[in-house]
Amino acid sequence: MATSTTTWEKLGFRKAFRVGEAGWGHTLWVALVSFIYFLPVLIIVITSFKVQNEALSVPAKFFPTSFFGLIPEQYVFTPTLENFTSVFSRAFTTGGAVESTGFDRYFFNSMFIAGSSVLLALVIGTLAAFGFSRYPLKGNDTYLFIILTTRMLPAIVVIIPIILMFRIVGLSGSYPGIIFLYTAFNLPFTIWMMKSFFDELSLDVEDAARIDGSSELRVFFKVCLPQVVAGLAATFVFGLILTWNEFLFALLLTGADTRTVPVAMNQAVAGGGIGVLWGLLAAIETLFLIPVFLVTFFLQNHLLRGVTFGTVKR
Amino acid sequence: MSTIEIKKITKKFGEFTAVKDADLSVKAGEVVCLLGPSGCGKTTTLRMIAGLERTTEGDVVIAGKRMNELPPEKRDIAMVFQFYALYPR
Ligand SMILES: Nc1ncnc2c1ncn2[C@@H]1O[C@H](COP(=O)(O)OP(=O)(O)OP(=O)(O)O)[C@@H](O)[C@H]1O
Ligand SMILES: [Mg+2]
Repeated sequence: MATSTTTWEKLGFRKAFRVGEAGWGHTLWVALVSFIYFLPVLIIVITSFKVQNEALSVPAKFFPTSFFGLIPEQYVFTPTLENFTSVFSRAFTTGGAVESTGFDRYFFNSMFIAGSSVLLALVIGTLAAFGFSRYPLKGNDTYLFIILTTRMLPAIVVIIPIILMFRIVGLSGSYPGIIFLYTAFNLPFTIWMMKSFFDELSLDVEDAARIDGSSELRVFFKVCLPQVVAGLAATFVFGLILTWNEFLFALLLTGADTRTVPVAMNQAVAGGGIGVLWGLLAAIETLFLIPVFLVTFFLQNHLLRGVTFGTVKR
Repeated sequence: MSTIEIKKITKKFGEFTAVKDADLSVKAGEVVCLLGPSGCGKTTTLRMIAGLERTTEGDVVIAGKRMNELPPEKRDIAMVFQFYALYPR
């Protein structure tokens, strides 16, 4: 059987199925559902190319070109990159000096803070999950439940004590502060996810490795971890999306230098008297989508196995 | 090739006794069949010889050396499991 790998697949896309393989009915149905599902994203992306009055016009202008006169003029807008440039720099008065809005910094902050806290949570959480799975303590389930309860409280309930604690120890507005907070925020989920993955593994495989001469560390790194790569990928992506979108803690615990995009975005689009700058907002959101989209995209093959894992009884 | 000897080994899981005072001696090159109903402790005995389970009482002697405290990787012994146990990739 010659299964050729196309450039398409090498780029990370899954093997494309021809329309006929699922049947036209299913294909059309999926297309319709995806269209409804992704319409808001599409609208945001389209809006990011419009100037303010086109973004606000009713009926909405949906098409960047008239397709040689096919689309009536009132539905057509003139695409512009103005919004994207004004994400990063702006001139206060026409002809005045251009200055940076600091968004390059905020994008870096978002990536750095979300990336490092999710990775940190993954390392700590995976080790903890392995412990909980393989070396249960007395009252193991109680510990696991207590860990879970930290996620049951709404953030708003704990935010004030946390702000006070951060003030006192001087973590407020610093990178370590927000990174540790997000790590703690991600840990319960990571531990529960990874524990369920470790629970699914066959213990005989590990015993076989022990008899063949592996130390406990080697069993963990060479036998257990390779079997839960899908779980690691799924946990990483879920954690990343949660942290990437987090607003409340970021608003109250980051400073001018450590501000993340969701917070900065909120402050940047308040157009000072002329209402929300929708075009600018859409441009920031479009850029904000890209990193998470790329991570999810390149992990998708693992992800699909990751989220369906454990749903099939052995 | 050397001998395996177990002397009066007992294994308790909490209150439950899985193996009690088992004696066995296997010479080099000998083929031995351990026969018994399900749940009578065959696997537990083998796991104790391999070092995957600690003995509650009694000694495991391989090639004349008492091996009770040695971890499996130090015992130079092989075992095939009841269910498949292939390493990932
Ligand atoms: N880790 C454990 N904790 C508690 N009880 C155990 C444990 N391992 C085995 N047992 C119990 O010890 C007894 C002996 O188990 P063992 O697996 O040695 O039986 P077996 O002779 O191999 O049975 P089978 O022929 O079904 O494989 C069983 O009643 C089992 O429930
Ligand atoms: Mg058995």
